[in-house]
Amino acid sequence: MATYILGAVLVVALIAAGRHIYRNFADDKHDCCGTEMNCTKCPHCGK
Amino acid sequence: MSSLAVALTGNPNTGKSTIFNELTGARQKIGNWPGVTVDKKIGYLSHQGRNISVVDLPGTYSVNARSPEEKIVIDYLLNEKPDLVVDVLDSSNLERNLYLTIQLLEQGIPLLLDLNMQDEAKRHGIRVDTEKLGAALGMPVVETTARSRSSIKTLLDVFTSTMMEKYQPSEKVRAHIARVEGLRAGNLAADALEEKIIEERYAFIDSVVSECVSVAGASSDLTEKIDAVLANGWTALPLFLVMLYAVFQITFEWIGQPMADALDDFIGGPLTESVTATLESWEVADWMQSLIVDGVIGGVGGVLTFVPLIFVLFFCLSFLDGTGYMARVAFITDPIMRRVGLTGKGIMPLMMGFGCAVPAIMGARTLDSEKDRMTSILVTPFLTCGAKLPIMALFAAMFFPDNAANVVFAMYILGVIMAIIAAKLLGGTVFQEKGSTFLLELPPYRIPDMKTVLLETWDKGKGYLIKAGTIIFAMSVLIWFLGNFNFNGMTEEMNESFLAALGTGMSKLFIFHGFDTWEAGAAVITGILAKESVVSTMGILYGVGEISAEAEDAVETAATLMQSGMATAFTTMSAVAFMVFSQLYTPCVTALGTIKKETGSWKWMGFSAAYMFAIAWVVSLLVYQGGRLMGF
Ligand SMILES: Nc1nc2c(ncn2[C@@H]2O[C@H](COP(=O)(O)OP(=O)(O)OP(=O)(O)O)[C@@H](O)[C@H]2O)c(=O)[nH]1
Ligand SMILES: [Mg+2]
Repeated sequence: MATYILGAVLVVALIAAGRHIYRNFADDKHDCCGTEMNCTKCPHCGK
Repeated sequence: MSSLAVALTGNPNTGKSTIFNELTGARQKIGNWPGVTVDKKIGYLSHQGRNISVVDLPGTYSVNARSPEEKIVIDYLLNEKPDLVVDVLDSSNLERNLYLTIQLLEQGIPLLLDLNMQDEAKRHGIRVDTEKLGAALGMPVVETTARSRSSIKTLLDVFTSTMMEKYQPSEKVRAHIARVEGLRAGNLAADALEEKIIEERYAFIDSVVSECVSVAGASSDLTEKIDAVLANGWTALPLFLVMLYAVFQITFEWIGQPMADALDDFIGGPLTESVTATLESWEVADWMQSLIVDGVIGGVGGVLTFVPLIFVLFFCLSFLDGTGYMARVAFITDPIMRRVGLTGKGIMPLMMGFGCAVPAIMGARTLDSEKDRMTSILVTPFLTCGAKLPIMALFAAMFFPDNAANVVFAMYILGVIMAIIAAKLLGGTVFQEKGSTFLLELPPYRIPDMKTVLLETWDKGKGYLIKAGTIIFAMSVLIWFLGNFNFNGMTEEMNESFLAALGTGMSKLFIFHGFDTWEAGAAVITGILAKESVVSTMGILYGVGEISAEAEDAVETAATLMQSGMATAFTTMSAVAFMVFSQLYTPCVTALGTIKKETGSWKWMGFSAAYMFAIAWVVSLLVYQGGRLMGF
């Protein structure tokens, strides 16, 4: 039973992670630029 | 509710972004060097029932629209016609700053003058008679110290209460404009005309300044004294290296590493043990236990261990950025950069590469010539970004416990040297174009604003944490799956897994490098997706097996198991070769994607992936075989 619950939790976490990665990709954002900015618009990147 | 559009303009490094951040709560990058902001950025707030939009503009010296930044500023001011244009001036440098002011007035743009940096002006004994200045220009004037809350409050009140329609350029300004127009109408040659107009402007500024500014007891200039040592021809470069070395000692020896060790002990010890015990008591299936303990904790935990290092390093770099030293670094390194066909200006985006290659590659847009930009884009990924840091730190701590900081330092330097060599090679062959000149105003030394430094550190560190929780987490699950399954389903023998098959293929390339194990091969592959994955892969592959097989006997922590596994898989020399390879090989997919976008070509992306792999392969081979020849 616990195995199934943990499995479900992991699947949800994976979906959330996947969504974050996709969102980043779609919005052209990169976590490593710092969280506040969209990279193409970030102060030292964008032009 | 009526709305109000405010735009912040001014010379570079006068505190526009500081004001913008204070006003809107945004986190624009602030640094003590000119040219930090290169694009406009909008933020919102409300005050006294009014919705205010504020735009932070890049700093400029003039509005000739010669550089992209100038174009952004003048386009914005003329086309968007904000209700209130704030000209932010450095009060301790009024003469120079007013040069932009008068140009804006010539364009018929009414201005609110913000005499910023009052604290510094006071220290230099500079006093500005704001009444007279306002009268001389016909424009409203306000005084601020951007870092203080009360100044910001004042500024907001001024924003909402100032009716720009009430202000008209003074008689003096109108006379100046008339003279300039007279010159333009005459038939002077372009160069001579330009010169005449500049003369006019300075004459105007002189007369304004002599009327309104007084300097009492010129204090000795601290910046000059410091620069006599730090930016002096002989001592500058050695001191720069000392400075970098100190940053490394702080990060990898004194402050960061002890914290990372403590975290590692916790994750590998109590955390793993208690999770294992809990899962056991819940009677969770063995494979799920392995997935959670070996896969998620081993993979994500292995990367999280290095978070303290990241934070400390970012803190140090951000701190240096605030002192004004970085602008000196641009000067100090200019001769070296010139030798490889770049300029000192290129050091700024390059230094960003220590954080992440992505913004560094994009930051190359600030470089003047196409050649500089392309070269910079192609060499930046050689540097040690925050994601490669864990690889270096992991191997250094394991194989050089007494010298970890020095070994990591050496790896960072190797990255820099390779970047320089590659720039030289690319400059001499692929891109040939004359190097551009480089002018950079040296800012005064300042004590960095702690709030700015901490916010920036947190911001970047948080990005790293988010990455660990998302992409590294997903990668860890994937690696665990590939490492524990094959076409027949789950396997006890990792050596027969999908990952082993993939890794074995890759490892064939490293027969002469000393690390031709499938585990290393697999780490090289996963590392292309995200460099942290190299560490996750090692964590999952070497931290595995024993624990799940005989949980009761797991007196040894996962960390020590991993160490013993890695210690047998690598010799000291092959560990060095692996570090060298990891340092230099193909950038991660995100960086590759950025290269594609910035160069606009798949060709350059492919080139960069291939040539970096080749260079890494050769250098790592030389290091390994050379080391063996010398008897290591
Ligand atoms: N002492 C003092 N320092 C200030 C003040 N305002 C800003 N600074 C510092 O001045 C430096 C430049 O600030 P920024 O806000 O990045 O300047 P900027 O005008 O946006 O610069 P660019 O983006 O390059 O045009 C930073 O080191 C700030 O901490 C002030 O009122 N007093
Ligand atoms: Mg700025």
